[in-house]
Amino acid sequence: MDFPVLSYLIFIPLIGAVFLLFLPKDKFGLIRWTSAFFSFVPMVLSFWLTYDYFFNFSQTADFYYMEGPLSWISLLNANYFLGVDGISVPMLFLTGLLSFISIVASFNIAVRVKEYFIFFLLLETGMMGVFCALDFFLFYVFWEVMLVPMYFLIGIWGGPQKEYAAIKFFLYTLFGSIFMLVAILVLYFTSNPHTLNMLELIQTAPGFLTHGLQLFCFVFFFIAFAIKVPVWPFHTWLPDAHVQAPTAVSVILAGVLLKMGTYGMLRISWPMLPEATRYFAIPIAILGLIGIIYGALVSMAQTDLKKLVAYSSVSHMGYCMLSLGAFSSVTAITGCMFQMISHGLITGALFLLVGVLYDRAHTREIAAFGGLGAKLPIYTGLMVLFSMASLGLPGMSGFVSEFMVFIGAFASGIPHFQLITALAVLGVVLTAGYMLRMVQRMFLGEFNKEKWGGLTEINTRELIIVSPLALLTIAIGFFPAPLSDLMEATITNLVQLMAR
Amino acid sequence: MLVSTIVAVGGIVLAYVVYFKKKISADAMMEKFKPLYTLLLNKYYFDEIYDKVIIKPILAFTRMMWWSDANIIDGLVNFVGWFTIKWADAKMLFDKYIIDGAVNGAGTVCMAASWLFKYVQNGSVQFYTLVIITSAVGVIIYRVTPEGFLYYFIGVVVVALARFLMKMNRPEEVNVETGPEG
Repeated sequence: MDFPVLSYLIFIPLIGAVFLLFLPKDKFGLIRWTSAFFSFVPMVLSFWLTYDYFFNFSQTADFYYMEGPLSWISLLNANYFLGVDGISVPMLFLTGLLSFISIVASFNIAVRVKEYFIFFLLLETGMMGVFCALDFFLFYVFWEVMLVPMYFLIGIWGGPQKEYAAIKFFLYTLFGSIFMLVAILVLYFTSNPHTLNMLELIQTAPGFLTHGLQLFCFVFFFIAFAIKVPVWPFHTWLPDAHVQAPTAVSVILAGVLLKMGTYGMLRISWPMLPEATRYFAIPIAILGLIGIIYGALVSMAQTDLKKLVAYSSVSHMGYCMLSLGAFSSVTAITGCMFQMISHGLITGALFLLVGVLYDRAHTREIAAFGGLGAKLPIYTGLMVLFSMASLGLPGMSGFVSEFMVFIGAFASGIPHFQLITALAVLGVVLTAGYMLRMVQRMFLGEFNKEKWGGLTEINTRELIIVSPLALLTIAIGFFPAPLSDLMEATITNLVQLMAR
Repeated sequence: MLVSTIVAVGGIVLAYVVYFKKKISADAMMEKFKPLYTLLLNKYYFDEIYDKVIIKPILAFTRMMWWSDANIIDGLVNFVGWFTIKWADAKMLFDKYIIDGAVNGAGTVCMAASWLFKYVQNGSVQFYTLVIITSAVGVIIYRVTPEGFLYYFIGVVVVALARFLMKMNRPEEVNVETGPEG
């Protein structure tokens, strides 16, 4: 590959961030459109990458668009090494799309505009890097790089408790990263010759690690990734961070950052430590089950719309964990990937829509609204659409992914999985319960004309950024085959790696 | 099937007689079968039972879960944060008073020792001679009788201390250069 597309994907936002430094800070329009441009280009590149990968390379499980390994820190044998396969391409697609959408959604940010967009572009660099890196050191660097802009984005532009939420998010994730670093060092020092190359380690790690060390590394990686997902009981940073963060940051947080946890598991711990994966399959599925039910129940009790969506993320990521537990099933792992993408689209859109309403009404209390359907028909239509998608209505991406997860987990042949899956299906009912209840209380019933008579309908800019998400949600719902074809070879290979 | 047809047709005929032909007064029927009427009017109270038995308990349960999430799981997280800060505070006090106290203590000890020992360096030849003779006598006594040395030593220390204190209590020494006026 003579055109280093992955490096462009990673570094165009960074170039944009540096470029923004030179713009006058009171030219808001210029800053906004410049940052939109610098996230538009990676988005187009990620679309092209997906297209090209789908038609040319998706038949095999190999990595493509490889760059490097170029020696970076030779003392550590750390290299600049990038490459993508069938599970990173959809993530890059999602990152490209959601980053651009979030930047356009941030056009209404009015304080410290320049800083905001610089941090946002830095964040995009970090996210792209995590999904491309094939070297542990590089992976770890991008993983940490992404935390810093996130901390400031929540801490400066967030809601009333922004400082608390930002520091909680930062410290919690950093706490997890330390465990990941220890596990990486264990892999580095036990491999001979010492290497940080993930592809090499995937091939060799099961050979040179003892059973005990495998379990040790697995648990340490798991803590890092589980905090990011977040898996119950590591989830409490999420409602705070999501609720306090500005709208666009919530979108990125739910749409991309949570997926890094599950991506890390699929990319690193699962294929690298197959013995430990088999050992911990049932506990992982049980954690997933608890997440599904618990998240749904806590969602139901929420009075704040944004908090409801935040807790629904805990519930939806539980499906990913359940399917990750079913390591032996291609369907389950495909379902996991579908759920990651579909949750990114749906929850991203729900956060955008919550932001749209909050900008106008300055409250998110569900009880404060009622009968909005009469006043805001388009907004209500979109909100109902995404609520339905979230509760897994057939014809939307949520249904496809949940169905795959259940089928895959049920038929995986691992002991107790049938019972766990059967219990997890209850989550669908609970999800329908809280979503429909929210729709009923907010959009149906009596409309308070004096209080909300002045509310305006969703505007064109907001409509434009939400509609691609709606289209993709429905497209995947009706026609999931291209996406599953894209990932099939890679996932089949992953499942074989896990069966070693 | 026959029964259901008869019931359905009977119902249609009854409705025709009651509401269209008005042969039988609906109000009178209502009065006559009051309890049954109320039960039917409220759909066997099915919604109310459903609300009491299923919806309310589930919602109460979800609120309980939320409470435990915010107070127990998140409480634990916040406790870890609080504990770390408190621990850091305690460590800061330890650092301030024990570790840094030792550093400052060393300085204080040096200052105190120098304050004490400056009186030895008084430049008086008689005093130096006294110290030498006293020490020499001490060495001899120690050679002859080690037990006796202890009494000798205590005696010397007591005399030296008494002299030292007397010197300290004496009114301010006259400055040699400027005289008593200072």
